[in-house]
Amino acid sequence: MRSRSIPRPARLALACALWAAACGLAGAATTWSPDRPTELRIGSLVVGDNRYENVVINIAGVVGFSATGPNRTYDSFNPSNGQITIASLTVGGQTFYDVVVTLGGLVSVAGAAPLAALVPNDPLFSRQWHLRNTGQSGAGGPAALAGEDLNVGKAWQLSTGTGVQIAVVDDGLDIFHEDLRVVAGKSWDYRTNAYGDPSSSTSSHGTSCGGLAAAIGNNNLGVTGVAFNARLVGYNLLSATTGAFGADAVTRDLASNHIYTNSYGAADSNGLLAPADELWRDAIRTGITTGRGGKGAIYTWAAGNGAPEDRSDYDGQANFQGVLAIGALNDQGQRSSYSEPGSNVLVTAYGGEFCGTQTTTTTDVSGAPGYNDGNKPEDITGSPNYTRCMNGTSAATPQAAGVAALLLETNPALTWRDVRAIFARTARKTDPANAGWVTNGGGLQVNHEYGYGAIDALAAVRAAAGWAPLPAQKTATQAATLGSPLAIADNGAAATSSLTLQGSGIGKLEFVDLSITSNHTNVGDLEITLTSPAGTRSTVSVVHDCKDTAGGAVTCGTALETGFTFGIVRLMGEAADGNWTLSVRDGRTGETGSVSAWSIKAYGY
Amino acid sequence: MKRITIISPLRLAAAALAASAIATGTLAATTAHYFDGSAQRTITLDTSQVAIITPIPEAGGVQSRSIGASGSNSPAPLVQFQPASAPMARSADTHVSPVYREGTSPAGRLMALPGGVVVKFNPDWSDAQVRAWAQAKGLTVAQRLGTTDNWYLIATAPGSAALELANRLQAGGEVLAATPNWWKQTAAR
Repeated sequence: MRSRSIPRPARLALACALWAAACGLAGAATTWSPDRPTELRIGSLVVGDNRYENVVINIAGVVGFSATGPNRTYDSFNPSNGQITIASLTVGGQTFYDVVVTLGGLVSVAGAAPLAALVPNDPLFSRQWHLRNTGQSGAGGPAALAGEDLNVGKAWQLSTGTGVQIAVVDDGLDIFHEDLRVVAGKSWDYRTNAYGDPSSSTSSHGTSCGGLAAAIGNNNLGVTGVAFNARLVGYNLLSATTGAFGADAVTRDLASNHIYTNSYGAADSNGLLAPADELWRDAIRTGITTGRGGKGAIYTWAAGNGAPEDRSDYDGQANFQGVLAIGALNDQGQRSSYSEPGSNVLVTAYGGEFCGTQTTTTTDVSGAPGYNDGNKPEDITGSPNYTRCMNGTSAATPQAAGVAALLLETNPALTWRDVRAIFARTARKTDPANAGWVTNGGGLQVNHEYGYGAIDALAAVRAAAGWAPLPAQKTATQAATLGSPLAIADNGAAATSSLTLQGSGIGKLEFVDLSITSNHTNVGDLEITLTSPAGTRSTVSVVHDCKDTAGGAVTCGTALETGFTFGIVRLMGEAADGNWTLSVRDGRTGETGSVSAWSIKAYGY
Repeated sequence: MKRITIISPLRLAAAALAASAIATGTLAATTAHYFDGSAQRTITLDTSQVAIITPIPEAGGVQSRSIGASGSNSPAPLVQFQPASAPMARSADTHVSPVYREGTSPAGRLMALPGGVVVKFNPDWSDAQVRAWAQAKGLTVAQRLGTTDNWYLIATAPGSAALELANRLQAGGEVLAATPNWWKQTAAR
């Protein structure tokens, strides 16, 4: 889309067309007539909680338009700047898309009605409690808690992901699935390292993720995706998880992918720290700086399913400042038992618990293979292309990707940082009795288990419509001055060290890297927290065992020996300058060590 | 049909591979290191198993396919693990890699060497300069890595050759980073 910076000649051309074209007009819902050249008749427009029909407005000016589309489903009004975006408008025989006009005045409104949630006609929608939780019963356990969902029904009256492309990086994608809109010829098969069919009979995981993000909705078939008019591509990275392919998968076709949803990572439930490779970090940096025409691709990342042994903090990829780490909720609106807590968890969506109770319903690989093979009591009888057994932060993450798609359709000017901020600022405080909720120095409620809370699609879409872009990002790095290594008493009191950050110019933090180097011989002995100048405590490691594949307790090793970087997203809105305090406590007798270096890198504006 | 040969148990091979790793410190018998950017990473040789690598022919034998997600319609196993003590059925187009674990925990993430070294060059270096540099060193550029800065994949055989070359290039100081193109154990969530 061209935006406010469109060339003046082009703007004039459309303005002239609007004011002087002699031909008839044929916009499907919104029309302009040469008989009343200063007016637009908008078929339907949502403002606040109401939908208005046949809205006639005076145009004060044309701000921008696109010659290609359609890129959105609905017309929209931005109350913050008085601009209306028309999905498509035909003037003088030529159709323009994303036509942004400035509202001059209201002429007339034919009718108004409260905005109603869209209920798609897809036959399995009624099972999709994560989209519309009416208190559905699962295979076992208590019925779902009504209302614990993404709150997306009304959001669909504003946006459905039209024009947005989501790359599903996973074990594959059934590109011929009846209920997925897959871009032909643009999926990648790492088994041959070429464009091709990334699917296999066992690539159910990616196919289910794709369906949660963007299964075609309201088509009288199967299930509904969050962004049900978005399009998909699939990259089967999990068939060949090399460093080169890992970087490739998050930058492939960066010019056409808006969102990369990533529901994989180092193995869970072992408590190990898993650093992210420099090549992968460079790839993500490339994506967030050059993707979407410089506005940045959005990377949703599964926080991990390893609780209670694991924390998302131990995952170097989920720790990276360029990704949005997503946790999982069950149908009661509480953290899924497996969902890893962490200082890097941004928000949560819905993964459910296990198939024996309630998980999410989505697409499955077509036919008999896949999760739904027809042989299990929990299988959806007669619908082999769908499953009701998709769970995990894997399930939550593509839901976040779907909501991100709604935001990008609503406001294509959003940067990836804007999307992150909108998620945080519009999330709903779920499980309010949980003791982990704190109010950070930016006035936002946050919790290691939930991040900023459950994604609220409607609130997010509304925020996106009137969102003022975040200022340019600043960074500031400060290392602690340690005259000698900071000794950590064996099974003793916490050792603390402080540093002062000054002159950063960051009044509102977005993210903080915490890098620590320690020769402690078992990082599992350590509880590590960082306290911000505003007093917000962020825990990045707790005393824990690491587990081998048999479940036996083993040492976690010297994982901080050459440095490890934790990521903290809990401090959004706080000022960066001031005293930061690191606390390291050894909670077990035996192995020992000290901290030789630590530093922070603040990101914000 | 692929030609199958039976080779002897791999205990000796594992020992040889361990010896070829770049040993450090007091755990010299089992640990090695590589560099990830400027960070030195410790890895621990898992002598109990080896990885069987089946390179992708189209990629010039420098990439591999990993175990885990391939189904019945997949071309072939990608990286397969087997006990080091077991006899190995080996065809002409398969290779062996030592298996390492990330860090020093016995539960560390499994890593193998499917071949190749990913190298980051100074951003001022042109593609032609990189290729000339590689040629002068007798190396082959397998591919430039997309849009990601100035990273290239340099071809090596699967196995320890990649680790040795990566550490040699890193120590040489001519490049910004040199890391084996590790296969790492990765799971769907």
